[in-house]
Amino acid sequence: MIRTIRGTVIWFAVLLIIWEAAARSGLVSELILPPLETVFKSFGAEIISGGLLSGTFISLSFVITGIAAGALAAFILAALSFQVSAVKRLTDMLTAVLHPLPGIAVLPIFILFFGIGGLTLIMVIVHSVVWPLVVNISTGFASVPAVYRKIGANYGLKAPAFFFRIMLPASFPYIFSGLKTAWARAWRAAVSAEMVFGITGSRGGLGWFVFQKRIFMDTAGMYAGILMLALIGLIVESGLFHLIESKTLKKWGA
Amino acid sequence: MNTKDAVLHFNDVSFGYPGYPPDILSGLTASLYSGEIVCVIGPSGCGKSTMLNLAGGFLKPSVGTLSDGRGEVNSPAPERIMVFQDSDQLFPWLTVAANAAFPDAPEKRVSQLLSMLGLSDAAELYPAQLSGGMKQRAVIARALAGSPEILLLDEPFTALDAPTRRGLQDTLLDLNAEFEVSMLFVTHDIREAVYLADRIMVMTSEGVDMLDIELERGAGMRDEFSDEFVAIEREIYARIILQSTP
Repeated sequence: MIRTIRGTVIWFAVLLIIWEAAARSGLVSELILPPLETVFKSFGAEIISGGLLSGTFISLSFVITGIAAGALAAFILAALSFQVSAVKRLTDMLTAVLHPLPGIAVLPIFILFFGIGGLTLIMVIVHSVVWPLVVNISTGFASVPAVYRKIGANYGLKAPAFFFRIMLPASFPYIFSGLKTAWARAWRAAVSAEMVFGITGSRGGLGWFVFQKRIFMDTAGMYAGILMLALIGLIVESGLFHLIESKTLKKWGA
Repeated sequence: MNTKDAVLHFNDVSFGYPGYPPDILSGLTASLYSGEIVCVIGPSGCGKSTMLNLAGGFLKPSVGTLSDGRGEVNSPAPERIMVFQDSDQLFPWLTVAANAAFPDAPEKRVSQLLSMLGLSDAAELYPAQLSGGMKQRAVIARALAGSPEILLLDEPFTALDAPTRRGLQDTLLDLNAEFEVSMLFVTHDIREAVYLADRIMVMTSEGVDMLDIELERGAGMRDEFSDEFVAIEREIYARIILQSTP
């Protein structure tokens, strides 16, 4: 663990040095690669002015809403598919067709249906998370050992208790891995959708922030936005997911 | 003893999967009485596990009936708890104590069982941190925590090394004495059967020619080197060989 962190830090420092050297050498225009100092200053200024934070907040709240709605839909679909084979065939067909479609590719359809606004953005996120989640949850349900189900039957557990006390925790490793995929896809979908159709309502998210900075040739500000995107990714993936993993799967020996 | 105080009674029970003759079990009539340990031995494929699954209510007889003290057995119930053959039947997401309390056993009984099974110090550990023997102990704690009338055990100690197995057998006898729970114990280990049983049923793949040996549980029967123990062991071997010779 410590070794991994040290390795990451060293390589990050090396990249920053190369960046700084390239920027200072005068070989690359400052409009393309501004010195780090400028980028960090811009990052600080955007934090203080609130632009970067409100963008982050907006994007995150869309992503969280989308994942929550997508996860709910995925659970319902997977649970129905587990019980009813006709529903399973429908889900399999929908998954096969829609899973490979990038969120950004279905954006025009959602714009036609829901107009340009928050709902469209959320629908794009739901689309990008629901299929990987359905696949993972279904695999999880199917891989619950028969002996767990027999134990549940032996104690006379009925549907809700059986689901929450056996099926759900037993398939948690699969659900968790589905959520990791869902987060990555949702975050990418949200940022790219914002870049395509811009502002939703009166305020824009991080994707819009970066896009806007590029339009106005504020390169340092653009990099500040990208830095924020990377930071959020790092915090969620290496921080939050890692924490959940050490509290659950690690202890369970999964 | 008669069928009145039987906690489980097989009445001319046959079982076969439709379309796959012959029947795995046919014409089985047998009883399990209150508080006793009956060991069922026989070669693999003779229907031992099927018998246990029928007793648990996980399978239904094709012919005949099965009844417990209350009435006909036709589905699994918490009064008849099964200890399965799988070495991983604890829930990995629950601690030993939470596993033992599953789904809602009283805390007092759980801690009494954990202490009798030597698991008090392991109560907060997860199954992944346990040895094979401790896992089986925790499984038995969970099986008994809900105060079942009957324990159905399907070769529960097969995967364990000999000293660990002996320790568990002794614990099982203590638990049987303490809680007066009846046990139907399937094994293919004749020595284990003689060590544990009040009665032994010998099954063969030939059908239901079941031998029913009643043992006097006394001093000699807890010493596997005693003449008495060896004699019974030999007799069972002889009967099995006799049964399986065409």
